[in-house]
Amino acid sequence: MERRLLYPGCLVLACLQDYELSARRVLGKIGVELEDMHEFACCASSIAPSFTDEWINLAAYNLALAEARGRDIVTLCGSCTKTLRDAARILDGDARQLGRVNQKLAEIGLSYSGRTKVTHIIEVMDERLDEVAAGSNIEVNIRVALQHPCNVSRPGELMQFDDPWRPQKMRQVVQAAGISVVDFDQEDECCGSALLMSEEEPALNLAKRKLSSAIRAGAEGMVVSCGNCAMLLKNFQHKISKSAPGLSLPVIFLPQIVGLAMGIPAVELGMKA
Amino acid sequence: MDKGKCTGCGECRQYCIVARAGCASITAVLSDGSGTGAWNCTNCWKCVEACPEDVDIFTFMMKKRRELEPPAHYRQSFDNIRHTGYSMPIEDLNTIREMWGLGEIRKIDPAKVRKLLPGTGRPGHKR
Repeated sequence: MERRLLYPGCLVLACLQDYELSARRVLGKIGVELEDMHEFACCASSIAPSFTDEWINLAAYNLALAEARGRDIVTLCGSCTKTLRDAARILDGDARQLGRVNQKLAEIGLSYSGRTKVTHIIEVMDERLDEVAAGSNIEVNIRVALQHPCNVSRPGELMQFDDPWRPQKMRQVVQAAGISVVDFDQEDECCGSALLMSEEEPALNLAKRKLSSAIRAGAEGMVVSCGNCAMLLKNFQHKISKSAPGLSLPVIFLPQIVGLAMGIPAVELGMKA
Repeated sequence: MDKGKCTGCGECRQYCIVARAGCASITAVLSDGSGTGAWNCTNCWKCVEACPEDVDIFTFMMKKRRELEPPAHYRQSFDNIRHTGYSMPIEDLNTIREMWGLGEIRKIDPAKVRKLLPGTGRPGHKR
């Protein structure tokens, strides 16, 4: 069993416990045990860089924390993945910046030398596609639409994973678990979740367009693998339904749907039995 | 900060979901210098993917944001980060985790966060 640290990120830690629960359970099934990453902090996301150049200290802190444990990091959100990888690349290419960051880290007893690898859950499952397929023996009768997390494949030059315009990796994982995927015309669009931070109504309209398109295509559920996508499409769906009665689509986390195909009881995946 | 290699070709705007949602966007700022859309972004980075000049849109946008008043949610989230290390409120973290059958997580000491972000006493303004 390989051991990695689970970096839940703020959103999952605060309100998406079902995502964390199912991720731990399902990655355990395919040979990756997720250990607790005590004392992790916000990755910085797009929030801290909006206010200060010191954001990189926060991202580097998380990388250093993992390095001290001698473990790589598994992320659950696109934005955490991109931010941590962005910081790692900046520090890898800029010795002066790395020196400045290490001065800060030294104040709290840490240092970073560039050894931490950050992988999103889709990447981990893609690495172990054969185990996903071999472990999925239960037929799950649901046709799902996919919400690809933008930042797992974009910017392509940084992420180096999947097709940045038409991501395919999550589809391959879901299909390896034997689940039917429907195409829909909004599949490759961003969910729009981060727009909630500044313009709520337009963000809800983007989600409405996305959900309607999936329902029209015959989807019975939408699979997400990012806390931000879940926040808008799942946690805000009641707001969307207010202006669009009847618009309702179950939103399911990637490890939940794969977990069901593996025969893991729904309750152990944070789902109602 | 200037736009670096940006020629204002507008290619980024073709793919900007924020522009298509009818909001002021960073791609409008880049394309024709109009508007104050720096804070309206979904971070999908299709603009970066599409840009023929490889403009560092992320850095441009972050610098642009610091010239403008931040939206309340961004200000609150950054305040949360500065005070607790997390963008979301997580006071009852371990009680909720126990209900879900998840193990206890030790939070970062806020004193460490202050060491990591020492120059951020006034949100919205770089000291």
